[in-house]
Amino acid sequence: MRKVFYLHFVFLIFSFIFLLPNKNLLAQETGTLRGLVADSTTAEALAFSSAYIKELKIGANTDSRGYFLITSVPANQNFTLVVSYVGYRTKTLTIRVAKGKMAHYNINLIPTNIQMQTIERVGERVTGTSDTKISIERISSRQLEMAPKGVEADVFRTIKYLPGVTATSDVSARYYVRGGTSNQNLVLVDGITIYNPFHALGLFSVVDPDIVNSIEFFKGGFGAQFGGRLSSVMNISTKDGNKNKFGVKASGSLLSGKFLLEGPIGKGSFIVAGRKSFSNQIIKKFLNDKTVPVDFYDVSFKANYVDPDFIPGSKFSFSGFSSSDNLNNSDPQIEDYNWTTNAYGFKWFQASDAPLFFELGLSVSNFKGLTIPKYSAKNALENKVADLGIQMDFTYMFDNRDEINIGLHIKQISTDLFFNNALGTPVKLNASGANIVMYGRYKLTQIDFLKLDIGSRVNLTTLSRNNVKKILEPRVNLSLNPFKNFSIKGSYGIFQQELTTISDENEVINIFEPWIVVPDYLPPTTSTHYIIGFDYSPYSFSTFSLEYYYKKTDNLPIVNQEKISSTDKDFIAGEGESYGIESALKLNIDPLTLSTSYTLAYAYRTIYGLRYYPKYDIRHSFNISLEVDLGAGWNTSVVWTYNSGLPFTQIVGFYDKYYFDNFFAGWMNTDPRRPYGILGVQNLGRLPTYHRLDYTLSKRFKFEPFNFDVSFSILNVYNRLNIFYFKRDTGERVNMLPFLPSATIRVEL
Amino acid sequence: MKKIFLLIFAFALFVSCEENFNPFDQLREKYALTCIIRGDTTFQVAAVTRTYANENYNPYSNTIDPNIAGAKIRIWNGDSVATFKDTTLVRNPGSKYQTPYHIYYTKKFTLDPNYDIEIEAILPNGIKLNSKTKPPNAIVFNYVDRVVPPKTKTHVDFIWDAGTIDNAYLTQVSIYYYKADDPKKTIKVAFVPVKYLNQDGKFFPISAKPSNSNKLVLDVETISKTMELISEGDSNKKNYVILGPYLEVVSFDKNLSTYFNSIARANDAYSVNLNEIDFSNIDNGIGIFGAYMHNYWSFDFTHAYIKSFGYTPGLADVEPPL
Repeated sequence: MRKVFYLHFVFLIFSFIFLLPNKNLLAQETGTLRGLVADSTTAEALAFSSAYIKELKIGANTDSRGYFLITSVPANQNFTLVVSYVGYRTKTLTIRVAKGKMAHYNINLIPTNIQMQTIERVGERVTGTSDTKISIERISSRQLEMAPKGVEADVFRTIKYLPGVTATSDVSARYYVRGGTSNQNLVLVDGITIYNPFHALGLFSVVDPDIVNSIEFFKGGFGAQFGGRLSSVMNISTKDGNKNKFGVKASGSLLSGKFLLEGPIGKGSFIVAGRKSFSNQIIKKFLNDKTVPVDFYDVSFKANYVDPDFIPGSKFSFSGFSSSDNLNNSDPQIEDYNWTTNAYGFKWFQASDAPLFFELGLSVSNFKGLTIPKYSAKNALENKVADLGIQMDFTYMFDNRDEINIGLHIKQISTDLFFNNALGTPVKLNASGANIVMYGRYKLTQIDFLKLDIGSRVNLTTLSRNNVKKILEPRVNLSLNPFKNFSIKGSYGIFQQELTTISDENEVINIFEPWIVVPDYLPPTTSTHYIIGFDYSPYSFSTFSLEYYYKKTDNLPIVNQEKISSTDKDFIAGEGESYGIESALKLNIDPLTLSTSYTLAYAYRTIYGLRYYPKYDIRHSFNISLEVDLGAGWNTSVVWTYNSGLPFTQIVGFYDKYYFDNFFAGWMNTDPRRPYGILGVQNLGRLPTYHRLDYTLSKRFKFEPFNFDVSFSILNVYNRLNIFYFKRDTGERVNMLPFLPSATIRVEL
Repeated sequence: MKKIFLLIFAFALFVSCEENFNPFDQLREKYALTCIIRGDTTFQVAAVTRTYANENYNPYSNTIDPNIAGAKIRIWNGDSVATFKDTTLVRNPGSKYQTPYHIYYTKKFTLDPNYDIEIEAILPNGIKLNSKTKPPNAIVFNYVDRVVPPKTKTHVDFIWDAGTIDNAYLTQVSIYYYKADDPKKTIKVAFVPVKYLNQDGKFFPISAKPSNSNKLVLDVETISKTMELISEGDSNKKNYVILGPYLEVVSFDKNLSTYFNSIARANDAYSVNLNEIDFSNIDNGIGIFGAYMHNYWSFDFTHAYIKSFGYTPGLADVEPPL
């Protein structure tokens, strides 16, 4: 059966390659243009910038490495290439290619003094790009810097403003995408999977924004090159480091201190960044004035080597990431926690003389989480995840601008979970296996008004030993441009996930979620995405987009809350369903940038025939942000967020429940009864609406030899008392973040 | 510009107020029967309460006693049947309820572990609550350290035959003693915890938790600490006559074990969990009906060990086995 699927897949790919008209075979009077776009001051690659040949009206966007390819450029003629990127001076240069050859241009863009940029999809209006741009948001490092900071800039908190992304509180950076659970979100840093990307009870993400070059965030319908998760992919590319000069940055917020060192090294460059928490005072504000001894650090580094004399067109990079969180209590009756992530990766990128890119990646990602009970009532827990990956990716562009991607991804994953259950019995859940995947994508872009991205993942081996699993994960993305500045988009895809976390749906704050391979008695979780939408840009300064999505998830592993016996299964299989409409309007009229989004969404879960709303089901979400470049380095922004109420389970009464507080005293000698709240139908109630206004004012200035960036923020300007949760046992209402001013300062040498 | 700011300010004022929010749905009337049968006595008790709600959401502020009087409760074990009587007890001084504690009791129920036990409670409003459980077997010790301190190790072990899977056990070791100058020779008991927690020089006992482990491992150091504390602050050590230690193992039936399991899921110090499993085996209502057995094992202290604390041995000396 597998062979049949495999043959189908191969047939599909080769059909596209050979049957579609390929101008390459017909027109030999052309050459290929390749460019590498970078920042002129740091030589840092500018991901997703746009390159456009004026006379031919064709162009391309750079990839996350800063490369672009334009094929079928008539040979031996001069053309005007326009390269642009938000925040940089547009560069115009004359290019010329030789017949049947590739011409390579290194293009350095000079940063402008414009500080204020919105989170917009850059390069959007470039024609000829192979991207169908469905359910994707691209965020550059500059845009990250300008996003509302709160306590400090945070990658995950930034994406919460995007339509389709929800959160259950101000407190946690954990996010939910289009009705999916948080463990269905894949976080990749330079292609390495990060399993627990949170610091401090999920308050902040582990990814330091200062090392981020660009982020691609897929909310669904992602291509066949991504797998292993059902809902979203956050593909973070880190900076290479300044290739021209050494630089040092130091910054501090009310939470942590950071440093960054970068510079040229040999024929490459390096960057090292670190962050360490130093105060818990601000965290108290997030946790209802509860003191938590949060102590964390993270360190990132990357070194790369580019030597045209060694292998022309090659780039080698070695990167690493380490983070650790400790919750150590001086009180021996309160348990301690520790969780660490260590991830390392090596990449060899090769651009050949043909319009072919090749990348080989090796990666190791380890997560370890510990609960150390000491003398508390908490039971011990240890979770380990070891992920060893090898991946090879090839991208070839035909002269007709069609593109093919083929790759082989091998992942050896082992998860170990050890814990003592409530009755003190040790439980071990260990699993390991290899997921070997071959994928292929064909991007049809030769027709001006049609872009098609079709492909599939072929799971040659899976982690799960369950027979009910998908071998093929087909993906199709389509974009039609019937009119100028108007495109209709559609997407369909099947996605499979074989890892899950032990997450308690009734927890509103948790320390970390242990990862395990889905037990063999459950089939791997699969999800089917259907997306349709359109983009409309009536004016050069405006963009309006609308997307409808429908997502159906089967075999969703849900922790068995009714487990009372050791023979009961730890997980039961549920179902998920979600659908909604997302709309976004962006206006950019210098010096103002206005972004608004509205989402109408529905999410459901079904367990044992009971259908209910998951805790992150928000019916209406509305965001509006206004950013103003005040000039002279001053910038200001306000963001207002409105969400309709989150679901919660109502209390339908109390009864005095019998507890075994002092069993040997005899139950007549004491009154071991305490009120117990009986819950109604799960998540049938709704909390009050949530809304919050945040304000940020920042100033950049130079005080030789230093560059300063000072930012002042106020979260919850009008001190809205947004309810976080309601304590069932005491009736106490707990609110989210109050009015909270904060400041950050960054010094750059 | 001024107008815009004024508008924003007015809007902020309008929206910043806290919204009223009612976390309650309509009260669901339910009745809870609690009856935990002790295997070592004929005296058994039961209680029936109803669910309640109160206006300020805080259940601790409810002072209206939800206990129900006038129910007819019967219990069966094989061929024997016992009827519970209705009575009241005086509540603890700190209780939120001002009315007496209403319970049901019988003095005539002897547990036969070979038969299932059934209970039926017919409430004054005609609602009938039922339940059934299978009593646990008395446990059989298959390895015990008979003498403390043992010669070759620093801990003592007590292992018993594992019962049905998922059965929970709770253990307690007690040291019996009396004071020689007490004319009545009143027997006193010192409880040995599973461990002492030393916090800033103060020792806090850590009690045993229910577990389905079929053994108890106790450090001699912990027993010694309990021995020391018996006469803490009293220089007349010889006045303390030590009789010996005693192990008590309580075995719970499946229902009580599950009930323990459900209430013993300790939350950590930081997570906020809005739910707690509420196990119930009462048909047509909520609550718990279960049974447990007390099992005992006495062991000995050597005279040398007792005398090392300055105490007086109260029983004949023993020799620890090799």
